[in-house]
Amino acid sequence: MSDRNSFHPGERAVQQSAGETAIAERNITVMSDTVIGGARPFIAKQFMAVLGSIDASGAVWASLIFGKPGFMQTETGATISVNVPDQERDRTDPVWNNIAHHADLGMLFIELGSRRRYRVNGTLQRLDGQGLEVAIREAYPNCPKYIQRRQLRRLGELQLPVSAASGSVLRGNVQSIIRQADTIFVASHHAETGADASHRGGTPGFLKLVDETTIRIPDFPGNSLFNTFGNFEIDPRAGLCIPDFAHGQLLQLTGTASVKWEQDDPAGETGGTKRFWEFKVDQWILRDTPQKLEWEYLDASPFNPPVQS
Amino acid sequence: MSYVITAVIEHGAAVKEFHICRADGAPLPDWSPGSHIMLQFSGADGTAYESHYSLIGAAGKADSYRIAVQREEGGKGGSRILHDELGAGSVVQMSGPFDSFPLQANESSRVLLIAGGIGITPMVSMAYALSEQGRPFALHYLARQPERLVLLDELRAIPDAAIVPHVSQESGRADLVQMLGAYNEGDTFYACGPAALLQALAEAGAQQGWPSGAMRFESFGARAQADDEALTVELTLSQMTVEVQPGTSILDALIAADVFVSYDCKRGECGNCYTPVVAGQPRHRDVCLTPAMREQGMCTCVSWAAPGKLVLEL
Repeated sequence: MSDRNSFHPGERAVQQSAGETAIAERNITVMSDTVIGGARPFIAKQFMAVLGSIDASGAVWASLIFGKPGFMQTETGATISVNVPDQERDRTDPVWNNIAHHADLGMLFIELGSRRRYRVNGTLQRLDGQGLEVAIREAYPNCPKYIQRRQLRRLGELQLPVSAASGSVLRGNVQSIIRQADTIFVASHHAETGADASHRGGTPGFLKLVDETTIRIPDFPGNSLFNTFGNFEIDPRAGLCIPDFAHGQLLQLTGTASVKWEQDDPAGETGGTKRFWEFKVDQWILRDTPQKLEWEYLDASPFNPPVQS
Repeated sequence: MSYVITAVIEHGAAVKEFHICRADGAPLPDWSPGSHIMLQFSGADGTAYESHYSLIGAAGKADSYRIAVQREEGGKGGSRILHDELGAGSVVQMSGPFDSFPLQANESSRVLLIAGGIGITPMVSMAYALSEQGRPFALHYLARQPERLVLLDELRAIPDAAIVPHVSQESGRADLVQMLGAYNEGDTFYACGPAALLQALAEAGAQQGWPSGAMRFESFGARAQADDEALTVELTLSQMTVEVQPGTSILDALIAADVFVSYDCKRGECGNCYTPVVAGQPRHRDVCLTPAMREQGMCTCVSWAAPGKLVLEL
């Protein structure tokens, strides 16, 4: 079991505002400080991981990395190794510089094809030419809700360097990736509990552009722990990673998040929570994935609330 | 710290109300509408019991807590011990109160309270609170026989409370679709009762356009049924087979086998253990899945399956 038997003040504050402290108390019991036995082979067969990292200025980034199954391992469940040799690291992904400066790393292992996911928050304890090793602070399974099923058909060979663009306003291609997204990843950070990487999914259109620098995102009913919103309460800096599965691109955005409570929601787009959050972008990077990935879309989550156009 | 039962009041043949105080007479923690406590006590033969009960009455400050307990012939037997062996002066252990079924503060909305039988207990404090806040509400109270409508006099004495009893023996089964009506933004209902009633409410709500977040359930009682037979559960992704005996939930058997599963409530209310079904015939006992979701999967925490093989994509 975990040494984490309480929540940080930010998490607690959000749980109270949502009226979900008792549920959070009950659900924190699924947290542990090692990877449970059943999840170890799961991690070892993944070809993808979501990483949450912090850059030198304190900005938070979410990244997706890929590799041949087996490139991530946890034998004891106390640490996870990620074998990406130096020459295979895509330097247009901020994560590689970030972890050299800041040891907190959030990890999410998510198998889109089976809707299974496992979340690990840890601290980098080794970074060398071979790869990295993360000591686990807390680990827990997440629920299958809101995950659209996609199966990887083919993982191509690594091709570096990749093309990448960056900017600070959301226009053109960047806008259309946001509008079409049904799967996004969010990273957040808290000085004591570390970095966190998490999944958000919905029907395409669930991300709305408020203006050229702001995205509005509904917050669906979840596990009541509010790790992400709890972090925002203390430190609003956030990272998003939005994959464009069809075109093999990743849109990574860093900025700040603010939670909006008790919003009008006549169409039930929040699934009843009436909570939204707004993400204000400071900087974005749009990159090709270093490996070409062929995905097959299977189906949407039956839990997705409706989207109002 | 010890607690003591200070009074017992009979409500008909099957329900007893217990008043519980601290043994040292000090005040109890304030509580909020919908809260419950966990009682621990022992039978004469030394068997230990642990049961959850909603607090009844008006929430807030308290020198004593009130609970109402229906004597159940089935189940683990805690209610029989409370009814038959414990009484005024008996010492019990208590933890809580836990605010796991909170009344949301949204003053503009239409609120329905729906109770089935002894599921009335958390609704009493909600009715007091809504009345106190001046929020209009209706409390639909469903029971098979009129003598099962316990606490009715107390409910009727709450100012501005619209109490609507439905006695199925007299007027047939209540029309839940009509009771809920079409969903309007801000509407919320709170329901407590047997799983079958809550399931039927979830379905009626879905028909009337109620989003799942606007339907709040507190379920109780065992979901297992007498004719449940042992199951062989095959897991396609983990490549494991788990034998599950009646009396253990499928989810608990998977956790014990160290299978990688997610879960939260273990009461069929949250859907976090939702698992795709590859083969087999699930017997759904959750209160959270829609018919479309049930076509693809099941909640392993409370649901069971027809005898034979159940194959899960897990």
